Amino acid sequence: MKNRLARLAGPVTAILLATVLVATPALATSAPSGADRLSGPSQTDERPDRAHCRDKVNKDASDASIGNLKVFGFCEIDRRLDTIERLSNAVDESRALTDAHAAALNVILDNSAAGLRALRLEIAADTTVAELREDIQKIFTEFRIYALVTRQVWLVQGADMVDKAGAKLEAAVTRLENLIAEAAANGKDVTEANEHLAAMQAAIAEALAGVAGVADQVLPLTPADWNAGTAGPILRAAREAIAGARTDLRTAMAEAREVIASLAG
Amino acid sequence: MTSQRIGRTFTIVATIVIVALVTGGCGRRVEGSNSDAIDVASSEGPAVTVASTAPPALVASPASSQSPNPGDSPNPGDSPDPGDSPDPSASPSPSSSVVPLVAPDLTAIQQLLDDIDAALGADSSATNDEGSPQ
Repeated sequence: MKNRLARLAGPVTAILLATVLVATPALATSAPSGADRLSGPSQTDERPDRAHCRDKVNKDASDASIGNLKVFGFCEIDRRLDTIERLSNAVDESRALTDAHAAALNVILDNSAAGLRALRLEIAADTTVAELREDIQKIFTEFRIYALVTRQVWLVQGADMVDKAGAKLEAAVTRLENLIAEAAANGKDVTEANEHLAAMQAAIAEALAGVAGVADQVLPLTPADWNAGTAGPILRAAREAIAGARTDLRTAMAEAREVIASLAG
Repeated sequence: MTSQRIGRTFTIVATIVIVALVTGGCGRRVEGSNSDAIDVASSEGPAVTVASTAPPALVASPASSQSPNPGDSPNPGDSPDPGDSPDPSASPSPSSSVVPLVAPDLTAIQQLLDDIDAALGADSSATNDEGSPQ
């Protein structure tokens, strides 16, 4: 009996080992894909909104109690730190941001996070309602994480995306020029293709000119600029420039497809 | 003696089963890692989806049989952007008499346009989250 058990022990152990080895990659394949792990604009929907912190306040206690104000303050700070982390991930994983713009955004995000953490300690040490009111006010006025910083991240990214798409379209222009030259050499009438190619180039140039300097205007903005009312118009103009460039890029794409269609027809 | 023979047979069979399971497991592991790479690649560019999204080749290449075996293709995650790849029409295969005129793939650019839409969407909703200390 002992001998039989000894003989069976090897294979049984091996089968168990094999099962573990097979199960490990099976679990690995069920992990989120690389694309799923990318943080992007869509993830901003998951963050707690501004109502979240009001809901956390103890409704039974007086609104102005020290306990309530601290809960509200901590919640608002944590919500912003969470947003900063998501924005940092988006900056790190961006395929469009230039190194200089990514570095500038990271400085803004890091400084904001450090300031909020310091303010959290101040709020924790506050002992009066007046101190708490003053410090909670700073969460908004001294950081402007949503009104300014978040917008800086997405607008600078948007401008760099336009630049990158424009560069790719310019590369496509070169290819299309080669295709047109080949078609002409084979005796094909390429008049229409050339017209579409010219329209494509004009649209690309318009898009790139539209976002020129956008990042340089958006990056230096500070919460003080927002509070003074000077940042808002710059952010709005940047948004409009990017939206206009997006339209130009779509035009360029359509013209590229027309070039292809006219050569294939 | 007979039981020893049965034991040895069982051990051999178990070993074969283990080898088969481990081999299958490794295959699934590689497949899993590649699918991750494909996800990333497809979000970066159309390298993996060329067949389904690329515009039709203007002239079919007679040298299509020379195309590399799928098993020899590089990791999709390492594929360069189609916009950065060498122009096939500019470097004809020396063995082919007809130049394969392949139109540029615009999928990567379309992806960037979608990303711009998403960035503008995130920008427009950001201010609403600021709230107020009141």
